[in-house]
Amino acid sequence: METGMVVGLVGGELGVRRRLAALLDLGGLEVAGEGEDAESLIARLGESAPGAIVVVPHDGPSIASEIRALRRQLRDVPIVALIPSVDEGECRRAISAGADGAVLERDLDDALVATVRAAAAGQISFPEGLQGAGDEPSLTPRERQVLGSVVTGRTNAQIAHELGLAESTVKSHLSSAFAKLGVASRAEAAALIRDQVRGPGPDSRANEPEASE
Amino acid sequence: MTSRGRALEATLSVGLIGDRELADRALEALAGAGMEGVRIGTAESRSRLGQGLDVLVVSGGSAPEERISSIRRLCQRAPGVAVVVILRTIGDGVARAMIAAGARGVVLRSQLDQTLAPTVRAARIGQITIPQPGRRQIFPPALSHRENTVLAMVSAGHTNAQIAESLFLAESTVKSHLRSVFAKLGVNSRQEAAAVARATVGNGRDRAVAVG
Repeated sequence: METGMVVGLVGGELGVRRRLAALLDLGGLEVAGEGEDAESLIARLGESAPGAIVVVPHDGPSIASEIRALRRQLRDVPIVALIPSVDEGECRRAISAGADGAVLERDLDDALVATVRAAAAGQISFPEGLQGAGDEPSLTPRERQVLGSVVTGRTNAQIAHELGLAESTVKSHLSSAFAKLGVASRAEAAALIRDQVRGPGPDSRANEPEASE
Repeated sequence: MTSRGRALEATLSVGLIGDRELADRALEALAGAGMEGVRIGTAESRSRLGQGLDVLVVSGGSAPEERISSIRRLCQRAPGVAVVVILRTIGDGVARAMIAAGARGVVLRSQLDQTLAPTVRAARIGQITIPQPGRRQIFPPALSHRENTVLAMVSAGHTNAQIAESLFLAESTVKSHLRSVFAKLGVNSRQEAAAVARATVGNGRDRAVAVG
């Protein structure tokens, strides 16, 4: 089960693909085919679908659209995206576009083979820290405005009056904002916002990995 | 970095704790991938955790809520150890909650034979690895503004009629927004949708499984 899997490489410069092929080879994975883009890899592979595909970003279409193009044609093949910089948004976009794994170029030597194998086994694998990025709530301007008024202690009726909205609309903005922030009450929302304004607490780095082992 | 990667493969020290039968299956799955694991008892885990264990595979146990807090305590106690959890199901935002609690990997019991070994390897090198069905819990699909609002109100316990009234919509429109939300989130009920909403939005780490 751990051997014999073949992998396709898409995109990137030849030098990058060479480096990936060498890493995969060290991990017991064979490169079945390469292509500058999704189209050319598929053309080169013909009938035989690889066990997994590694997508490398390159000039031209974004990595997300490259992944979507691959997904359309190779429905069930696990796809792992190589992300050049520590860019949570890019990892997120790659996975949302249908990739099963994301590896930062920084971690390539250690993480590529394990991530390809995890994806091939039916798992999703991505760099640590990414799951926190989704926690940043994106509030709409109205939700911010209404929350701001809540922090200053106004009632829904007062907010509705000041903003020229129906009270039901204020309530709906608030329940949406509460859900985004993961709070259950006005008091909790107010406390959270005050904390954020003040900045992170002293123990916010408690989860940082150890510098050495 | 390269040499470190290879050294890790060779020296990976994996401990297994929890359900005996699952631990046996886990040991077999690891052995099949050339890794050796050691079963450790709950009592010795405290001392073993400090002794160069790279990965700890945790199985068995109680209800999801209790398991999540026990995983959180475990991860806090042994910050240098990558924790991988074996679960029967990952519904209701449980995968998301386990990762938020500090676990690096989640494996479904039914897929353990294929998924455990690569998940353990990935966990050791700082990747988070979870089963496919957990994708939406961590990478939620983008909902429209209206869908978000309706979902938030459903989470707050409002009925369709109440939502329709406060948003000045026909009840049929609310239903159609909800159908679309269910499809995007991959859920079948209001309860599940509410659970996913709480598990995926906000930074309510501890609240992620408050519903359930």
